[in-house]
Amino acid sequence: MTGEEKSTYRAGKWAKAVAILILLVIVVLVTLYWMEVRWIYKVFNYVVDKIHKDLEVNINLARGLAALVWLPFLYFLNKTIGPFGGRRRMVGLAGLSVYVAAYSFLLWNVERQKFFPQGGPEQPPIRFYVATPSGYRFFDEGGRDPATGLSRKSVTEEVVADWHRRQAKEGLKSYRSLDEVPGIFNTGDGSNLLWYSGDPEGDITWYTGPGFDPRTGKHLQPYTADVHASYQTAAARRQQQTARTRQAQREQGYLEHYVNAGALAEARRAERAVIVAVLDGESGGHSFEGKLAASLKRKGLAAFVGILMPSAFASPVYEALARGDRSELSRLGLDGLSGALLVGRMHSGTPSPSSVQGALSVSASLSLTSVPLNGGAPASSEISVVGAGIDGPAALNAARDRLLDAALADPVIAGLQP
Amino acid sequence: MDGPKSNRRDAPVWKRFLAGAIDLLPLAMFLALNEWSRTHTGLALRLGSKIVLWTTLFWILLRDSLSGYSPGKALLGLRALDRRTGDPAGVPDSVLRNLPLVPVVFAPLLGVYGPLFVAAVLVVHGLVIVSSRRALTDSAGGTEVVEE
Repeated sequence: MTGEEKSTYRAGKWAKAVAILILLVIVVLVTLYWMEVRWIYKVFNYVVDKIHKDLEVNINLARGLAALVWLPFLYFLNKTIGPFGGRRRMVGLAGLSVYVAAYSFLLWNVERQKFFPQGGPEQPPIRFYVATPSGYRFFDEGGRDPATGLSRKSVTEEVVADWHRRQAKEGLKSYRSLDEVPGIFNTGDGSNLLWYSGDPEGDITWYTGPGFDPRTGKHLQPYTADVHASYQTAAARRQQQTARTRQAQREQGYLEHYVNAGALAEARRAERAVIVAVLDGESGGHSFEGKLAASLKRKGLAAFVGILMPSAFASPVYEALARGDRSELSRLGLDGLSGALLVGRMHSGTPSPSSVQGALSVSASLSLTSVPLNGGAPASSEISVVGAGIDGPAALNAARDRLLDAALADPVIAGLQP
Repeated sequence: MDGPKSNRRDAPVWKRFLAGAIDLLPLAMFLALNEWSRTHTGLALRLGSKIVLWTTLFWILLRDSLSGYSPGKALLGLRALDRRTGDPAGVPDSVLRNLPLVPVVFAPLLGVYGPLFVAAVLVVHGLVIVSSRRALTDSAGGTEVVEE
């Protein structure tokens, strides 16, 4: 190979090599640019994901926030990795440090208030705790706490609720009645707002949060809809029982107050016990019924037992008398009666001039119902009389006397005879 | 052909491979660095490795440009010569002969498959040497490697 051929040959090789170098430089530049864009895109997506999950904001809002915080990041990054100038690079590094610190503190502040994995209970725990006399201490890792030697446990709902209460310096509020609680269920999602200890069908105490019964130390149970239904059923049953007991006590009280037990016993022995019930009492009417009962006793038509006025007495007593229900009367302690006389309200009219010169007359009426309690059909009667006197009261008294006489002679009362 | 090759013989294949392996150590370091950055930061190829990439590229292209010696060849007594002139390889010879090895520079972009890709390139090179007694690099650059 001559010198000229060699020179041409070398020049050709140089040309090829330079062309290849230029081509390679272009390829590498394009590749690096793509890598850089991909890297920035990855970091951006990482920031978006972090904001979206940790701050729990909408993904689009997270993207917007990431774009905002991205600008200063890129600015300082450019200063750091750009052409190396001492002052410019220091500014970039300082800015980036402040930026990363602010971002990290923000995320730390958000994450330290999280106790449970976002994915649900099947996810591994993210916070652990030890309970010390001065309160709870929380950690991001499990294992043994070097300060106390205690094993770190996964946080539970009870622990978090208790910790929140301690932070707010509030105790667990307890209630003995549902009327006092501010709310039973969350109106939004129906979740329970109360926890309880005790028996839903018996003694129960409600609490405002999960935790432990201060008396027994047992876990408080969530007061769910099912538990609430059981409690309501049992409460209704108890309420009915209480109402029945109170009614019985009231009836007993009335009977003891108004029924002459000695007279009742005597009448039972004589088998002439008749109870007189007045449909309604009125001022002045009491003495009329009293007179009627006394007359019945005096005439031997009935032994005086008592006067039962429905307005004052328990209606079950009156209803049992009206129905002639011996078993109910027996339950009420009024067994051994031979009959009942139900006396209606005495109606009296307005005094008006009488046919007798200078006198006034008053009309009066009365309904009578006899209820035989030892067999036989009930009988009713309406009695009307007119009494006369020199004035209104005298006329009314005369009407009452005549009404009493007429009543005693009435077949309804005659039918009471044993 | 006269020149530096007159009293030299072709380099054994194993020596050539060993010399190549020594020359490619910077690339291996680059791969290790990239893998470390990927596993420890979640980001493949950080911006700092840009410099490493450029350095590795020119290292591979120009490794034989110093009178036909690369570090591996110098250690093992080998030398790359221009096949036509017999002169020691210079910059253009080195660029042309090492062009077939350039793809391995981009191996890091393949992530965990990068080392496999490098191994595959080397195996292909080895097969070509064994079958034709001439490496791809020598064919591309018009060179040959001799033992001094």
